[in-house]
Amino acid sequence: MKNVNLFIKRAVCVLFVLLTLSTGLFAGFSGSTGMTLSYNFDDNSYGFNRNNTSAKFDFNLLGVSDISGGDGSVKAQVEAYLTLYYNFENTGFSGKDGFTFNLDNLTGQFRLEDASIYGPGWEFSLVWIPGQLDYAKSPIDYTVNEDDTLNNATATMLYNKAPGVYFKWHDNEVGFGIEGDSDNYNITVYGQTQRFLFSNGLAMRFGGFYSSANYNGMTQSPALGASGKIGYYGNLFQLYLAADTGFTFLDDTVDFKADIMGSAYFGFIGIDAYYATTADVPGVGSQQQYLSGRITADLDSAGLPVRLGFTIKDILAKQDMELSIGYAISKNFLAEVHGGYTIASNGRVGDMIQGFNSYYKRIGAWSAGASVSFEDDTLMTAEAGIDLEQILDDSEIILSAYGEVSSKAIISGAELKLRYDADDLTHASSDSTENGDLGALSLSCMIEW
Amino acid sequence: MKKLALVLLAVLMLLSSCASSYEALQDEKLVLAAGSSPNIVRNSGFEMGDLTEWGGSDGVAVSSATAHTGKYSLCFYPTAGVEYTYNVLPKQEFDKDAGAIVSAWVKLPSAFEADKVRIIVEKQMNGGLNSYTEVHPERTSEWQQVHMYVEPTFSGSVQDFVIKAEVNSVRGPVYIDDYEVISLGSENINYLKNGKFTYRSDSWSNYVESFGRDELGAMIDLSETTKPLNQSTGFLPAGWSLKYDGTIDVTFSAYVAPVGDAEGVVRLRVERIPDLGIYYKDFKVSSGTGWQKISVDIPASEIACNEAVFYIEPVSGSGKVLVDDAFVTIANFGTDFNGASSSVPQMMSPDAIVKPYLTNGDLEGGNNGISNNWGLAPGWEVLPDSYWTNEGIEARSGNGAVFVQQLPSIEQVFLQANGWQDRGTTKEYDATKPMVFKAWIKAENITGDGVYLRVERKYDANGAEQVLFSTSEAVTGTTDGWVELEAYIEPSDISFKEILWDVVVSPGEGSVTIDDLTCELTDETAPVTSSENIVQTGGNVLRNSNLDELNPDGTTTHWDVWPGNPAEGIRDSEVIEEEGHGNVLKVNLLTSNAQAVYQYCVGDTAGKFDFDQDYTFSCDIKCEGVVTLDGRGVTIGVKRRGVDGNEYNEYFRIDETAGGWNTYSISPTPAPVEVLQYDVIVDMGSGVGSVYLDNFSLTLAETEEEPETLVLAWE
Repeated sequence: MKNVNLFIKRAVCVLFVLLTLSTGLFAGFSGSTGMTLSYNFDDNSYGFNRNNTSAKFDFNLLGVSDISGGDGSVKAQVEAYLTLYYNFENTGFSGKDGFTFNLDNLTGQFRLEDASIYGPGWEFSLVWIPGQLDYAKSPIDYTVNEDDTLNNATATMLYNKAPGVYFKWHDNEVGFGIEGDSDNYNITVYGQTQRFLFSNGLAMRFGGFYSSANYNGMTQSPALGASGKIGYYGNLFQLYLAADTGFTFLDDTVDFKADIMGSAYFGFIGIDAYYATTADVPGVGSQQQYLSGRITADLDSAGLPVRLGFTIKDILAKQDMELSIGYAISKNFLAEVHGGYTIASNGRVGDMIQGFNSYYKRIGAWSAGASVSFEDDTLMTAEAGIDLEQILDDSEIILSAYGEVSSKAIISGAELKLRYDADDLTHASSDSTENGDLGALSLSCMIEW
Repeated sequence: MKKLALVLLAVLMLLSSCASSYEALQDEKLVLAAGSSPNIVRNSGFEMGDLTEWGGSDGVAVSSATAHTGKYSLCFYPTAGVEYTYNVLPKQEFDKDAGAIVSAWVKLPSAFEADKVRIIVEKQMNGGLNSYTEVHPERTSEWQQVHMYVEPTFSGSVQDFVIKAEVNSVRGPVYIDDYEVISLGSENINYLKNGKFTYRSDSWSNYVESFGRDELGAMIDLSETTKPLNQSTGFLPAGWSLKYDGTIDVTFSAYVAPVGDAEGVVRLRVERIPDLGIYYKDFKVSSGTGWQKISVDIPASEIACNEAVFYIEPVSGSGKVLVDDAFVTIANFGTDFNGASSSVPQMMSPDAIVKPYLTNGDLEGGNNGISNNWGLAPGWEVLPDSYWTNEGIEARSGNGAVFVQQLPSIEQVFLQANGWQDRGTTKEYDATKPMVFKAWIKAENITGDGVYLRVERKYDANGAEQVLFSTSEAVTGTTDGWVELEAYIEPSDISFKEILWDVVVSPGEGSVTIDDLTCELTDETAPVTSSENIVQTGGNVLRNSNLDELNPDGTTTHWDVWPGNPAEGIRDSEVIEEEGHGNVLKVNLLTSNAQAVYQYCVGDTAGKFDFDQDYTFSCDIKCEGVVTLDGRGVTIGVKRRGVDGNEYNEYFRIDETAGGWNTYSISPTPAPVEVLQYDVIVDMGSGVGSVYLDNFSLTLAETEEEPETLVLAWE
């Protein structure tokens, strides 16, 4: 409670500062709320889900001021966001009857997005310097977010930003930050060149950082990083290479992290590879010495809407292989079947490296599945799939299934969704599952306003 | 499971029925957007060849690999992670809160990449969160159009209306082309670029910076009636999407305010080319009136115009008038336009407006040593001793003039192309009328082929570019002050694609000052000072005579080295630079076969001259260790093929043992029949050593009756 009050007080102070800074301040709010009606086949429970009834209030605080003396060539801008999220769980909220506002259920985030002075071709930011450059990401290892965007595996360097300023001139960027006292300091230097694009289809860009920290008792060491990417964009052949490196200078040693990716496309053949000394793999976690590769043959360019793909993930430890065949049935329908075999599904368990060298310690696993999807933005999207998986250590075959029909087109501003997920339809495994063995069917409606 | 299946089926049926009514609603909205509503997106098809008006991440570029229409499209190159591009639609020039239909053409590398591509509209709100509308392409690798309906803003107001595209870890290049945004509030769209003068002179001619109603504006001087503030659609960049073509009803308006005690008349005028009627309306301004809105209605024409010019011009009075917020917006006059309304504009004949045929002919306009609307070939930047100035030069009129210093081996051309002209203040060239190109020059020790005027009229015929030349007499030596040169331009029915008005300064050692260039109608029906229109008099008719112009592979343009066919032998030549000569063609003799350097001209060759005149061919030759084994030596000559099929060739063998550079010439006897092809040639037999060639020339042979080159001694 005390923290919330403190937060509100600080937010009000910042709002006041913004008001005094800007010649025009715009504040408003929007939000979202929704409900879910579900039936759980595991425990036969049903009803509206209170946990999913929530509201979000967003405030966009924007101030722009002409500081050039009237011609509009130089401006100052302050932009901030305040998001308040109220969870109605256990509040007895029942719609128009109202409820008693309980600050314990209110959480909030204030974000000062930008405070900068800018003119034609340049920008000077007073409150931030950019985050770590991340040119290299795995095109093979990723998860799909709810908004269809991808969350790719990548390496995260030690980059401890100090508060600082940032200058951008025709896409060339320089950032500098510093904080400290008589004993400790933290200096951050950041730089990134513009993209160099040559008429022959060659493009490249480079960047780097230096950060040091030994501040407030924290034991951190100087870190140095460099990134580069180069692409060749010919009409028939495209090649893209990117790498990020980072060195952290410890007392008696140097910690080195790097990842590199490469993609090449020649006609209907595509080849991708990714390697990281340490990678953050979505859905898996941090993995050392991580290597993946993929080759695809896309016959669509030859008039046959079929894509063949062969992928090996985690080549050094698990050899997680998968062969897939996709078939675009129509402009809206897609079907895919896939089958895979992992040589060492336990490849990263315990003392993996020593154990893995023993052939008899490898535990294989196979998997197979099929899926269909339908997508029409003016109507709806639908998808369904079934998967089989078995670890070859006397485990039984696990059968899972999912299905979803959703539409944002029927009611403007609202998403209707019917979803079913089941993780173990035959109760083959005693392990607990995220969606339940038999799963649940849910019908939801989310409204944005 | 059966229950589950039944529930799914019911929901699908519900969704389908709702979808049918939704699609009907979409169709209705699309119908609403149809009609003459313009596309708001600038550089929508990327035909400017770059990302003008667009921003984006590193993996985005304009590509010529494929396009839905035109030459270029936007390309997302394959990378891991998110790549994006965006275009903030022009602020305050359309109703951002109104609904819109947004579409784009997309080409995927594969049907399997559809879900990784999104076309997005982001409405950045004045308060509240931004709102998004997005659509995925369908699963096909053919060009496909995606479109979406963006709802009007019901709550709050939009600060920026941004169209975007985003891809994530796409495999293979994704191309996007021909964005289109049709605003359902299209009556507020401004067809003028930079109508609020936010970007100062951008797209405006005769712009003078001043205060506007809020920030920047423009200013006109009531006494400067020859300097109307104007914007021409012809000067909008290629590929510019929002371009008025005369086929819709529009209202042209602006705000004006007199400065101090300024008093007079300001006119709004619209000129459409070719002539679709000039509409104008006059407005009185007087002190103390403050800002007032003036407007003139322009009815639609059934014929589209190639170009339209919008003028805000001073007509009479004195003092200065501020101008701001110039708009050309869609109107709908219906059948009422011709009624006796006070809003009906007046019309005038194009002939009522007196405009010169050359822009900045008095050379008063210029900056940083370069005159406005005039160029200097081969380039101002490579000719530091030639320049425009309005200070410290003795101009014939006003203050501005151009000074050209002759160079030993470079021909310089001071020129204006019709494509460079300011259509707002310049009349379009009319090829059907006889005209005369005039310029005043002051020569100082001019040598070589002198200084002369030339008009090049280019057109296409038989699949090749043709040029009609008109030239003046040439001036060499020193003139006694300013003298006027004239080149008669014969009328023609040809539709010319480009006109160039040239002042040619041949290689030499003197200098010339140029001023007051005009192109005027004339009553003369035949040339006065030149004998035949297509013959270059006073000049060298050979192309690239000094070998200054090179092909990308380093060979010379217009000059060939024989043998080009390997079956006939091999050739060994290169272009080198030699001090005092510039580019020189060096031919290394071969023991295996003879070689020749030649330029030919037939009836449809660009630069065609009158083959039946008497000419003198000359060139500079330097021989280095030349010994020919076949006894043919090195010869210069002409090859002429007559109408009777016979060749009338004449050669002259030079002295291969003479050291250094020497000039050799030959004046062949006239051919007895009409000549159809005329070649000049330097033949080299097989042997050893090298032959250096430069400064080719083919000029009319001098006769006592009609000297072609005048050496003037002015007293």
